[in-house]
Amino acid sequence: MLVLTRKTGQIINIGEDIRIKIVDIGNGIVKLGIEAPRELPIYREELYEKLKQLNKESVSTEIDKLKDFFGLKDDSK
Amino acid sequence: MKIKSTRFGEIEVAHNKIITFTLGIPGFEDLKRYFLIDYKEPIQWLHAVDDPDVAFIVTNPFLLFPDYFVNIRDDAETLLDIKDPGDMAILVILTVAGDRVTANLKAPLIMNAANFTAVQIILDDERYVFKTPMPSMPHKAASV
Repeated sequence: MLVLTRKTGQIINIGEDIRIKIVDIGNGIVKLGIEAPRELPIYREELYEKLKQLNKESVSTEIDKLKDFFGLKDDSK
Repeated sequence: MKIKSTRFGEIEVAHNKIITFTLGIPGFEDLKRYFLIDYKEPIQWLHAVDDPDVAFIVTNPFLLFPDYFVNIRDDAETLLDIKDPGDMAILVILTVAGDRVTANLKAPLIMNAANFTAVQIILDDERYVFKTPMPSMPHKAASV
């Protein structure tokens, strides 16, 4: 992993299209401003991993459980 | 076009009903094409075109959570090329774990009904979590 040292207000460019600006630093927190092409999704990693996991769980959801929940009758198709 | 589904067998879907998730859905990045199957109000299936096993149970969140508020960032609007906010449709995925039914209010599906593109976004809103317990159902839905 490449490690760079930057000061507040400085910028890192990744290729032509991605700019990451150090907006603010303090108290163990860094605020980043990110400019990237819109087809590149930007996520906080821990949230993205959680979402992937949940989506995988959701796919195995059985409709029968929901039928009960929504009060749908068994004859529904 | 004919689509294979492990749950529903073979389904005929019109080309103009195919919804494109240009980025895929997190966890299923390779699957870009989906379509909606009306199930029973207020539930629909969001089914993958290219994988017979992959289908999500989705619902209109505003029926169950009237105060739900989605702040769509500009990048999502640009991505979907939303010109008229009236074209925007919002759905959330439901999950059942044991006896617990939850709705993913933290990461709604945003759809542009004008061009049938969609994206799942993660809201930058502390009020919402991935597994939001469902409120009890209104009687109306039970009688449908």
